[in-house]
Amino acid sequence: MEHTMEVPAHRLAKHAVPAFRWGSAIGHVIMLAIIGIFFAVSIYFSWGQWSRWIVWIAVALMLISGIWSIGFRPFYVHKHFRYGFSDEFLQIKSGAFYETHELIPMTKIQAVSTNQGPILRKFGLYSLTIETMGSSHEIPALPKEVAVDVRNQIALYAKIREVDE
Amino acid sequence: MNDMQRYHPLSLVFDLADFIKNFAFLLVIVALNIGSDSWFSKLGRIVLVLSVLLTLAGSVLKWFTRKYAVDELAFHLQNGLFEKTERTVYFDKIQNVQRHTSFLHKLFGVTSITFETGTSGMNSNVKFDVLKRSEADRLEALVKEFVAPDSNKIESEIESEAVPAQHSEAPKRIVHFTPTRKDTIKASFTSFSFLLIIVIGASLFSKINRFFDVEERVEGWLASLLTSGWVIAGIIILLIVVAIGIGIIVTFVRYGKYEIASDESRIYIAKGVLDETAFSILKSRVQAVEITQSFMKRILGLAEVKLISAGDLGDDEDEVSTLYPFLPVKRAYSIISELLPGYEVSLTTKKLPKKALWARLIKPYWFWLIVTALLTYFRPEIFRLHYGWLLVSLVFLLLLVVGRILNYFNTNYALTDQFIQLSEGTFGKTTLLTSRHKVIEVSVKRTKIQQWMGLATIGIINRAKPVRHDLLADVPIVEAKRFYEWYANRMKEVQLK
Repeated sequence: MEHTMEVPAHRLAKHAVPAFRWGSAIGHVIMLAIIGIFFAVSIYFSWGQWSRWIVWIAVALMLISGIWSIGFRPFYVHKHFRYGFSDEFLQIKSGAFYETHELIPMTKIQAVSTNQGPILRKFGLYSLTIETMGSSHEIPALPKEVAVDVRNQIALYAKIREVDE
Repeated sequence: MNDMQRYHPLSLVFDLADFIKNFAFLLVIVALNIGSDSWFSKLGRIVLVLSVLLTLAGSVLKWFTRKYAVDELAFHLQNGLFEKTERTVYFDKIQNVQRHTSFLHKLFGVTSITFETGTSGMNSNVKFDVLKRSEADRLEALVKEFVAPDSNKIESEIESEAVPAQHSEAPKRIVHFTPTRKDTIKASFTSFSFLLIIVIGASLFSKINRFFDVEERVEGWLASLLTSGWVIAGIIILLIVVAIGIGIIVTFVRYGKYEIASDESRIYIAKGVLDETAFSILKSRVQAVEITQSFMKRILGLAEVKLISAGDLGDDEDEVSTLYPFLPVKRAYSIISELLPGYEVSLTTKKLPKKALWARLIKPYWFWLIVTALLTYFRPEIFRLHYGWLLVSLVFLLLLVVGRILNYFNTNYALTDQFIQLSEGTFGKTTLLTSRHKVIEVSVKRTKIQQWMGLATIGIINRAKPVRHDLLADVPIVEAKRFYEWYANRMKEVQLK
């Protein structure tokens, strides 16, 4: 195919989709609660009509973003995310509407870490953060064994340094 | 470390000078109100006396508590009164060296020197605000000695040349460029743009005059002066002469004494007449080269070449890594190859495909949309026309479209064996040239439109301060793939420790 880029082989964990859904659902509930508090305060101090407008607009926006980021986005993120690595490079591909390919030399990786928040813990997943001198990259959801394995592999390869750094 | 030594005692004087510079405003106010008894001027005096005392106490304490030592490997720095801090900075982390000799430094026969490392955060450099020239030379020599032999080896390995065994010999230093008087005068022309302001201002004034009769409203001597056309003309000519004079003097003071030199392993840039600045960087530590041409410089065929270093390079004003900013373009290109072996500015660059122009034109004009929405809402009367707002919106859109077209024609790139060259600009032009073994990361990104049109945006990241992200939008996907592979092959040149 002339019109596509080559993509690496590895994918995110299967449970990534529900984990993402829960994550953004909780985020949205928190945002709604904040809007609710604002609404209550505006009634208590009887602020004008403008505060109602803000509440309605905010709720509408939350609804749209909720449908997108709980309903559709997790599926697409999982479907389009790929990563791969060799002893020389880490390669990450993500996104469908805004397709991104990144090629990072192992020698330029400064730190790699596995992280787990409460939601990822529930699904037994880890996210992997890879930091270079210029940027930071994330592999958002991997099963525990894979995450630890990948982290150790990358750490091993990244130990090699280039001359004149 | 036992043989820690204090910083130069003149630090105290320089701290005080700094203080005077920062508090000049307060000083003047207090001096003007010296006889006044109001609570405000009393407060001013108290604040001034207190801050003088604090500054003095602070700088004396600083002098007593800060110490440094140097060995053949590293700087050892010590500071702190109650909480002692010791810091060791190894020479191999130093990215560039800057020496600044202000007028005050010259009076006392001292100088200041800064060793920049590539790390981020507060302690990213080792700075000596005041020190003897001999001491500065000694420190610089130590750093050089540590780094240079090693780097010579690396470079010669790359070029696969036989290196003469005796490194101890002083390396040959070649001066590549010093500006002639003609260069300086030509350079000062680029800053003549403010002359235009005077001309425009004068013509505007005469227009306004016709409408509102400013002359009648301005009273007194000014009115009598301005009523005479001859006087106005005289003033304008005088202003122009003064502006040219100032332009030449400023340019001469800033760029008159410039020297670009290099030896086997380092590049040296020295400049300044009153304030002297010297910059040196290891050739192998140059991350990229940036060639900038403003619209004015493009007309005059001049260019500014900047070396990108992973260490700090100072603010715009005291920017130190610029090779002479008014080099004739051809000389600029040749000097790059002279200073940095392997670097060569490609003249046979590739243009973006036609469809890239379309892709750029159909991209949404967000800013225009916002402005137009506001205009539609308020419908201001502009130029006394009922539909003035519509006219403004259309003209604005036209400008944006022309801007994008110009940008398209100014964009080109070249991907050679080891180097990548990206140029972009609307009226001016900026070209970045870097080697793949200095690029620390690459990306290829495609929006939906680009996917449909078979285009892609390529991006490179380079070490600098702050880190540089450079993008080139709308190259054909085939080229993007070639670029990706090109980067994947970087290990051919890279040497591992």
